Amino acid sequence: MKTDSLIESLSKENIPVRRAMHPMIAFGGWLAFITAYIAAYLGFIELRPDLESKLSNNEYLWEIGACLATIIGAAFAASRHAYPDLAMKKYLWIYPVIPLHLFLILILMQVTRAINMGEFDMAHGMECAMAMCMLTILPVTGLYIVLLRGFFIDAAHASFFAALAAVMTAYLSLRLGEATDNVSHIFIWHTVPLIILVIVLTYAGKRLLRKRS
Amino acid sequence: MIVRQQKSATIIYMSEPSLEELMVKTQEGCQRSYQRLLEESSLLARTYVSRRLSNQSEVEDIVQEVLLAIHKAKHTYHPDRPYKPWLYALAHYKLSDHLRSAYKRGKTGSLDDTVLNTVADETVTFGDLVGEQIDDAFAELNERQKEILIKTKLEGKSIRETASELGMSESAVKVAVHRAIHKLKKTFGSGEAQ
Repeated sequence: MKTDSLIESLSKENIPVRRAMHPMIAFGGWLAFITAYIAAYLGFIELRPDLESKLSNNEYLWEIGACLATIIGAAFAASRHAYPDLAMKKYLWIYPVIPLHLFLILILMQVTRAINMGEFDMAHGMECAMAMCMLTILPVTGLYIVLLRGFFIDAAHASFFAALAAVMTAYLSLRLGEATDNVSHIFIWHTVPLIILVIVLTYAGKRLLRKRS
Repeated sequence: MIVRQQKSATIIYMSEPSLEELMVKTQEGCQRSYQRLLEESSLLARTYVSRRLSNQSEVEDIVQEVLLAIHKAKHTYHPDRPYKPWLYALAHYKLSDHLRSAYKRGKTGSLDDTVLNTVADETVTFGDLVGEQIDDAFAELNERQKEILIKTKLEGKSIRETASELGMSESAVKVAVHRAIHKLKKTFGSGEAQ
Protein backbone atom coordinates (compact mmCIF):
# COMPACT_ATOMS: atom_id res chain seq x y z
CA MET A 1 0.00 0.00 0.00
CA LYS A 2 1.30 3.42 -0.88
CA THR A 3 1.85 5.95 1.88
CA ASP A 4 -0.52 8.47 0.29
CA SER A 5 -3.40 6.02 0.17
CA LEU A 6 -2.64 4.94 3.74
CA ILE A 7 -2.87 8.57 4.86
CA GLU A 8 -6.14 8.96 3.03
CA SER A 9 -7.70 5.85 4.52
CA LEU A 10 -6.47 6.66 8.05
CA SER A 11 -7.80 10.20 7.88
CA LYS A 12 -11.20 8.91 6.76
CA GLU A 13 -11.29 6.67 9.83
CA ASN A 14 -10.64 9.56 12.21
CA ILE A 15 -13.19 9.98 14.97
CA PRO A 16 -13.01 12.07 18.16
CA VAL A 17 -10.83 10.41 20.76
CA ARG A 18 -10.81 10.82 24.49
CA ARG A 19 -7.40 12.09 25.50
CA ALA A 20 -5.47 9.83 27.87
CA MET A 21 -5.32 11.22 31.38
CA HIS A 22 -2.44 13.55 32.19
CA PRO A 23 0.66 11.58 33.30
CA MET A 24 0.77 13.36 36.64
CA ILE A 25 -2.89 12.50 37.27
CA ALA A 26 -2.20 8.84 36.41
CA PHE A 27 0.80 8.82 38.74
CA GLY A 28 -1.02 10.68 41.51
CA GLY A 29 -4.04 8.42 41.17
CA TRP A 30 -1.89 5.31 41.56
CA LEU A 31 -0.15 6.79 44.62
CA ALA A 32 -3.50 7.63 46.22
CA PHE A 33 -4.72 4.10 45.52
CA ILE A 34 -1.56 2.60 47.03
CA THR A 35 -1.81 4.77 50.13
CA ALA A 36 -5.38 3.60 50.67
CA TYR A 37 -4.31 0.02 49.94
CA ILE A 38 -1.48 0.01 52.49
CA ALA A 39 -3.73 1.74 55.05
CA ALA A 40 -6.45 -0.89 54.52
CA TYR A 41 -3.92 -3.72 54.83
CA LEU A 42 -2.43 -2.28 58.01
CA GLY A 43 -5.93 -1.65 59.35
CA PHE A 44 -6.65 -5.31 58.76
CA ILE A 45 -3.49 -6.85 60.26
CA GLU A 46 -2.65 -3.87 62.52
CA LEU A 47 0.53 -1.83 62.64
CA ARG A 48 3.52 -3.45 64.32
CA PRO A 49 3.25 -2.75 68.08
CA ASP A 50 6.85 -1.52 68.37
CA LEU A 51 6.50 1.01 65.52
CA GLU A 52 6.90 4.01 67.80
CA SER A 53 10.26 2.80 69.09
CA LYS A 54 11.29 1.70 65.59
CA LEU A 55 10.74 5.21 64.30
CA SER A 56 13.67 6.34 66.41
CA ASN A 57 15.89 3.65 64.85
CA ASN A 58 17.90 5.27 62.04
CA GLU A 59 18.56 2.04 60.18
CA TYR A 60 14.86 1.20 60.02
CA LEU A 61 13.98 4.73 58.99
CA TRP A 62 16.54 4.67 56.17
CA GLU A 63 15.24 1.33 54.97
CA ILE A 64 11.62 2.49 54.95
CA GLY A 65 12.63 5.82 53.37
CA ALA A 66 14.61 4.13 50.58
CA CYS A 67 11.75 1.72 49.99
CA LEU A 68 9.23 4.56 49.79
CA ALA A 69 11.47 6.59 47.46
CA THR A 70 11.87 3.54 45.20
CA ILE A 71 8.09 3.08 45.06
CA ILE A 72 7.51 6.71 44.14
CA GLY A 73 10.38 6.82 41.62
CA ALA A 74 9.42 3.53 39.96
CA ALA A 75 5.72 4.43 39.75
CA PHE A 76 6.64 7.83 38.31
CA ALA A 77 8.87 6.20 35.67
CA ALA A 78 6.31 3.48 34.89
CA SER A 79 3.42 5.91 34.47
CA ARG A 80 5.53 8.03 32.08
CA HIS A 81 6.11 4.97 29.91
CA ALA A 82 2.46 5.13 28.84
CA TYR A 83 3.29 8.26 26.80
CA PRO A 84 5.79 7.88 23.92
CA ASP A 85 7.49 11.27 24.29
CA LEU A 86 7.80 11.05 28.07
CA ALA A 87 9.18 7.51 27.93
CA MET A 88 12.06 8.83 25.82
CA LYS A 89 13.18 11.27 28.50
CA LYS A 90 16.78 10.75 29.49
CA TYR A 91 17.61 9.81 33.06
CA LEU A 92 14.08 8.62 33.85
CA TRP A 93 15.60 5.46 35.27
CA ILE A 94 17.57 7.45 37.86
CA TYR A 95 14.47 8.17 40.00
CA PRO A 96 13.91 4.55 41.06
CA VAL A 97 17.42 3.16 40.60
CA ILE A 98 19.23 5.43 43.07
CA PRO A 99 16.92 4.73 46.06
CA LEU A 100 16.83 1.04 45.05
CA HIS A 101 20.62 0.86 45.29
CA LEU A 102 20.51 2.59 48.66
CA PHE A 103 17.91 0.09 49.82
CA LEU A 104 19.95 -2.92 48.63
CA ILE A 105 23.12 -1.55 50.23
CA LEU A 106 21.30 -1.17 53.57
CA ILE A 107 20.02 -4.75 53.36
CA LEU A 108 23.45 -6.11 52.44
CA MET A 109 25.05 -4.20 55.31
CA GLN A 110 22.58 -5.78 57.72
CA VAL A 111 23.19 -9.26 56.28
CA THR A 112 26.99 -8.89 56.42
CA ARG A 113 26.80 -7.74 60.02
CA ALA A 114 24.54 -10.66 60.96
CA ILE A 115 26.85 -13.18 59.28
CA ASN A 116 29.90 -11.72 61.05
CA MET A 117 28.12 -11.94 64.41
CA GLY A 118 26.91 -15.50 63.70
CA GLU A 119 23.25 -14.48 63.90
CA PHE A 120 22.25 -15.57 60.42
CA ASP A 121 19.65 -18.32 60.75
CA MET A 122 18.06 -19.98 57.71
CA ALA A 123 15.08 -21.60 59.50
CA HIS A 124 12.00 -19.47 58.85
CA GLY A 125 8.51 -19.68 57.49
CA MET A 126 7.14 -19.26 53.98
CA GLU A 127 4.15 -17.05 54.89
CA CYS A 128 5.93 -13.77 54.24
CA ALA A 129 6.94 -14.76 50.70
CA MET A 130 3.34 -15.76 50.00
CA ALA A 131 2.09 -12.48 51.48
CA MET A 132 4.53 -10.59 49.24
CA CYS A 133 3.05 -12.31 46.18
CA MET A 134 -0.54 -11.61 47.24
CA LEU A 135 0.15 -7.98 48.16
CA THR A 136 1.80 -7.36 44.79
CA ILE A 137 -1.23 -8.28 42.70
CA LEU A 138 -3.36 -5.13 43.08
CA PRO A 139 -0.56 -2.53 42.80
CA VAL A 140 0.86 -4.15 39.68
CA THR A 141 -2.61 -4.42 38.14
CA GLY A 142 -3.15 -0.72 38.79
CA LEU A 143 0.06 0.22 37.00
CA TYR A 144 -0.67 -2.07 34.07
CA ILE A 145 -4.07 -0.42 33.68
CA VAL A 146 -2.28 2.94 33.40
CA LEU A 147 0.19 1.50 30.88
CA LEU A 148 -2.41 -0.27 28.77
CA ARG A 149 -4.50 2.88 28.50
CA GLY A 150 -1.55 4.65 26.93
CA PHE A 151 0.85 3.59 24.19
CA PHE A 152 4.15 2.19 25.33
CA ILE A 153 7.27 2.10 23.20
CA ASP A 154 9.59 0.46 25.71
CA ALA A 155 7.85 -2.60 27.12
CA ALA A 156 10.91 -3.92 28.96
CA HIS A 157 11.54 -0.79 31.03
CA ALA A 158 7.82 -0.13 31.54
CA SER A 159 7.27 -3.61 32.98
CA PHE A 160 10.42 -3.41 35.12
CA PHE A 161 9.37 -0.12 36.72
CA ALA A 162 5.79 -1.33 37.24
CA ALA A 163 7.01 -4.58 38.83
CA LEU A 164 9.50 -2.75 41.05
CA ALA A 165 6.92 -0.25 42.32
CA ALA A 166 4.36 -2.97 43.03
CA VAL A 167 6.72 -5.42 44.77
CA MET A 168 8.27 -2.66 46.86
CA THR A 169 4.76 -1.68 47.95
CA ALA A 170 4.23 -5.23 49.20
CA TYR A 171 7.61 -5.14 50.98
CA LEU A 172 6.78 -1.83 52.65
CA SER A 173 3.37 -3.08 53.80
CA LEU A 174 4.96 -6.12 55.44
CA ARG A 175 7.73 -4.13 57.09
CA LEU A 176 5.16 -1.76 58.61
CA GLY A 177 2.94 -4.59 59.80
CA GLU A 178 5.21 -7.42 60.83
CA ALA A 179 6.96 -7.05 64.19
CA THR A 180 10.19 -8.77 63.27
CA ASP A 181 13.64 -7.41 62.51
CA ASN A 182 15.48 -10.68 62.30
CA VAL A 183 17.95 -10.04 59.49
CA SER A 184 17.93 -13.58 58.13
CA HIS A 185 14.12 -13.56 58.02
CA ILE A 186 14.01 -10.19 56.29
CA PHE A 187 16.62 -11.26 53.78
CA ILE A 188 15.38 -14.76 52.95
CA TRP A 189 11.61 -14.25 53.11
CA HIS A 190 11.32 -10.59 52.10
CA THR A 191 14.31 -9.46 50.03
CA VAL A 192 14.95 -12.63 48.02
CA PRO A 193 11.24 -13.02 47.06
CA LEU A 194 11.29 -9.31 46.20
CA ILE A 195 14.11 -9.83 43.71
CA ILE A 196 12.54 -12.98 42.24
CA LEU A 197 9.12 -11.34 41.92
CA VAL A 198 10.59 -8.30 40.16
CA ILE A 199 12.39 -10.55 37.65
CA VAL A 200 9.34 -12.75 37.00
CA LEU A 201 6.90 -9.84 36.72
CA THR A 202 9.26 -7.89 34.47
CA TYR A 203 9.56 -10.82 32.10
CA ALA A 204 5.82 -11.62 32.14
CA GLY A 205 4.90 -7.94 31.83
CA LYS A 206 7.25 -7.42 28.91
CA ARG A 207 5.61 -10.26 27.01
CA LEU A 208 2.13 -8.98 27.83
CA LEU A 209 2.92 -5.41 26.81
CA ARG A 210 4.68 -6.49 23.60
CA LYS A 211 1.59 -8.47 22.63
CA ARG A 212 -0.57 -5.41 23.13
CA SER A 213 1.73 -2.97 21.32
CA MET B 1 -4.67 34.88 11.94
CA ILE B 2 -3.18 38.37 11.82
CA VAL B 3 -5.44 41.29 10.82
CA ARG B 4 -3.90 44.62 9.82
CA GLN B 5 -5.89 47.73 8.96
CA GLN B 6 -4.38 49.77 6.15
CA LYS B 7 -5.62 53.00 4.58
CA SER B 8 -8.21 51.51 2.29
CA ALA B 9 -8.27 47.83 2.88
CA THR B 10 -8.06 45.22 5.57
CA ILE B 11 -5.33 42.67 4.93
CA ILE B 12 -5.75 39.27 6.54
CA TYR B 13 -2.72 37.02 6.94
CA MET B 14 -3.68 33.39 7.51
CA SER B 15 -0.91 31.72 9.49
CA GLU B 16 -0.28 28.01 8.99
CA PRO B 17 -1.66 25.90 11.82
CA SER B 18 1.09 24.30 13.86
CA LEU B 19 1.45 20.54 14.23
CA GLU B 20 0.20 20.87 17.80
CA GLU B 21 -2.96 22.66 16.62
CA LEU B 22 -3.51 20.03 13.93
CA MET B 23 -3.18 17.28 16.51
CA VAL B 24 -5.67 18.91 18.85
CA LYS B 25 -8.17 19.20 15.98
CA THR B 26 -7.44 15.58 15.05
CA GLN B 27 -8.30 14.49 18.56
CA GLU B 28 -11.57 16.39 18.19
CA GLY B 29 -12.33 14.31 15.08
CA CYS B 30 -11.41 16.67 12.22
CA GLN B 31 -10.50 14.51 9.23
CA ARG B 32 -8.94 17.32 7.21
CA SER B 33 -6.57 18.27 9.99
CA TYR B 34 -5.71 14.64 10.48
CA GLN B 35 -4.83 14.19 6.82
CA ARG B 36 -2.67 17.29 6.94
CA LEU B 37 -1.02 16.12 10.15
CA LEU B 38 -0.25 12.69 8.68
CA GLU B 39 1.22 14.26 5.55
CA GLU B 40 3.48 16.50 7.61
CA SER B 41 4.36 13.66 9.94
CA SER B 42 5.25 11.32 7.08
CA LEU B 43 7.72 13.90 5.78
CA LEU B 44 9.34 14.27 9.18
CA ALA B 45 9.39 10.52 9.78
CA ARG B 46 10.84 9.84 6.33
CA THR B 47 13.66 12.30 6.95
CA TYR B 48 14.33 10.80 10.38
CA VAL B 49 14.36 7.18 9.15
CA SER B 50 16.20 7.71 5.86
CA ARG B 51 19.10 9.31 7.72
CA ARG B 52 19.52 6.00 9.52
CA LEU B 53 18.56 3.49 6.83
CA SER B 54 19.51 3.59 3.15
CA ASN B 55 17.15 0.98 1.72
CA GLN B 56 14.28 3.14 0.42
CA SER B 57 11.61 0.42 0.38
CA GLU B 58 12.35 -0.35 4.04
CA VAL B 59 12.27 3.37 4.85
CA GLU B 60 8.81 3.61 3.33
CA ASP B 61 7.64 0.53 5.28
CA ILE B 62 8.80 2.12 8.53
CA VAL B 63 7.16 5.45 7.66
CA GLN B 64 3.87 3.59 7.16
CA GLU B 65 4.39 1.82 10.50
CA VAL B 66 4.92 5.22 12.12
CA LEU B 67 1.67 6.52 10.60
CA LEU B 68 -0.19 3.51 11.96
CA ALA B 69 1.41 4.10 15.37
CA ILE B 70 0.24 7.73 15.26
CA HIS B 71 -3.26 6.45 14.54
CA LYS B 72 -3.17 4.07 17.50
CA ALA B 73 -1.42 6.43 19.92
CA LYS B 74 -3.01 9.77 19.12
CA HIS B 75 -4.94 9.78 22.39
CA THR B 76 -1.63 9.91 24.33
CA TYR B 77 -0.66 13.31 22.93
CA HIS B 78 -1.19 16.23 25.30
CA PRO B 79 -1.40 19.77 23.94
CA ASP B 80 0.81 21.09 26.73
CA ARG B 81 3.74 19.25 25.16
CA PRO B 82 5.38 19.76 21.72
CA TYR B 83 4.33 17.40 18.94
CA LYS B 84 7.70 16.60 17.34
CA PRO B 85 9.29 14.75 20.29
CA TRP B 86 6.12 12.66 20.47
CA LEU B 87 6.39 11.82 16.76
CA TYR B 88 10.12 11.13 16.87
CA ALA B 89 9.62 8.82 19.85
CA LEU B 90 7.26 6.74 17.69
CA ALA B 91 9.65 6.86 14.72
CA HIS B 92 12.55 5.80 16.94
CA TYR B 93 10.48 2.95 18.35
CA LYS B 94 9.44 1.67 14.93
CA LEU B 95 12.97 1.94 13.57
CA SER B 96 14.40 0.06 16.57
CA ASP B 97 11.71 -2.57 16.19
CA HIS B 98 12.58 -2.99 12.53
CA LEU B 99 16.32 -3.29 13.24
CA ARG B 100 15.67 -5.73 16.09
CA SER B 101 13.67 -8.04 13.85
CA ALA B 102 16.26 -7.64 11.09
CA TYR B 103 18.94 -8.75 13.54
CA LYS B 104 16.81 -11.73 14.54
CA ARG B 105 16.37 -12.75 10.92
CA GLY B 106 20.03 -11.98 10.27
CA LYS B 107 19.29 -9.82 7.27
CA THR B 108 17.85 -6.51 6.16
CA GLY B 109 16.44 -7.62 2.83
CA SER B 110 18.13 -7.16 -0.51
CA LEU B 111 21.07 -4.80 -0.54
CA ASP B 112 22.32 -3.03 -3.60
CA ASP B 113 25.38 -1.00 -4.62
CA THR B 114 24.07 2.08 -2.80
CA VAL B 115 24.34 0.25 0.50
CA LEU B 116 27.95 -0.64 -0.24
CA ASN B 117 28.68 2.97 -1.10
CA THR B 118 26.87 4.57 1.83
CA VAL B 119 27.62 2.13 4.60
CA ALA B 120 30.53 4.23 5.88
CA ASP B 121 28.18 7.18 6.45
CA GLU B 122 25.55 5.24 8.38
CA THR B 123 25.02 5.25 12.11
CA VAL B 124 26.67 2.64 14.29
CA THR B 125 23.62 0.37 14.62
CA PHE B 126 22.94 0.10 10.93
CA GLY B 127 26.63 -0.01 10.10
CA ASP B 128 27.07 -3.13 12.22
CA LEU B 129 24.14 -4.79 10.52
CA VAL B 130 25.38 -4.15 7.01
CA GLY B 131 28.98 -4.77 8.07
CA GLU B 132 28.10 -8.32 9.06
CA GLN B 133 26.58 -8.95 5.65
CA ILE B 134 29.55 -7.46 3.83
CA ASP B 135 31.88 -9.67 5.87
CA ASP B 136 29.84 -12.71 4.89
CA ALA B 137 29.77 -11.73 1.24
CA PHE B 138 33.51 -10.98 1.28
CA ALA B 139 34.19 -14.46 2.60
CA GLU B 140 32.76 -15.81 -0.67
CA LEU B 141 35.58 -14.19 -2.72
CA ASN B 142 38.95 -15.84 -3.34
CA GLU B 143 42.13 -14.31 -1.90
CA ARG B 144 43.21 -12.67 -5.14
CA GLN B 145 39.78 -11.05 -5.67
CA LYS B 146 39.75 -9.74 -2.09
CA GLU B 147 43.24 -8.28 -2.52
CA ILE B 148 42.33 -6.56 -5.77
CA LEU B 149 39.05 -5.20 -4.40
CA ILE B 150 40.75 -3.83 -1.28
CA LYS B 151 43.45 -2.12 -3.31
CA THR B 152 41.15 -0.60 -5.93
CA LYS B 153 38.02 0.18 -3.90
CA LEU B 154 39.24 0.76 -0.35
CA GLU B 155 42.82 1.97 -0.73
CA GLY B 156 41.88 3.99 -3.81
CA LYS B 157 44.71 2.75 -6.01
CA SER B 158 44.38 2.91 -9.77
CA ILE B 159 44.06 -0.15 -11.98
CA ARG B 160 47.58 0.45 -13.30
CA GLU B 161 49.12 0.69 -9.80
CA THR B 162 47.29 -2.43 -8.68
CA ALA B 163 48.34 -4.31 -11.79
CA SER B 164 52.01 -3.43 -11.35
CA GLU B 165 51.95 -4.27 -7.63
CA LEU B 166 50.40 -7.66 -8.24
CA GLY B 167 52.30 -8.42 -11.43
CA MET B 168 49.14 -8.66 -13.50
CA SER B 169 47.98 -7.03 -16.71
CA GLU B 170 45.58 -4.09 -16.41
CA SER B 171 42.85 -5.94 -18.25
CA ALA B 172 43.20 -8.91 -15.89
CA VAL B 173 42.74 -6.57 -12.91
CA LYS B 174 39.66 -5.00 -14.52
CA VAL B 175 38.15 -8.44 -15.14
CA ALA B 176 38.92 -9.50 -11.58
CA VAL B 177 37.26 -6.35 -10.14
CA HIS B 178 34.22 -6.86 -12.34
CA ARG B 179 33.88 -10.52 -11.33
CA ALA B 180 34.35 -9.75 -7.63
CA ILE B 181 31.64 -7.06 -7.66
CA HIS B 182 29.37 -9.33 -9.65
CA LYS B 183 29.89 -12.07 -7.06
CA LEU B 184 29.17 -9.67 -4.18
CA LYS B 185 25.96 -8.50 -5.86
CA LYS B 186 24.92 -12.08 -6.45
CA THR B 187 25.60 -12.99 -2.82
CA PHE B 188 23.52 -10.06 -1.51
CA GLY B 189 20.75 -10.63 -4.02
CA SER B 190 20.36 -14.34 -3.36
CA GLY B 191 20.57 -13.84 0.41
CA GLU B 192 23.64 -16.10 0.74
CA ALA B 193 25.09 -13.56 3.14
CA GLN B 194 22.54 -14.55 5.77
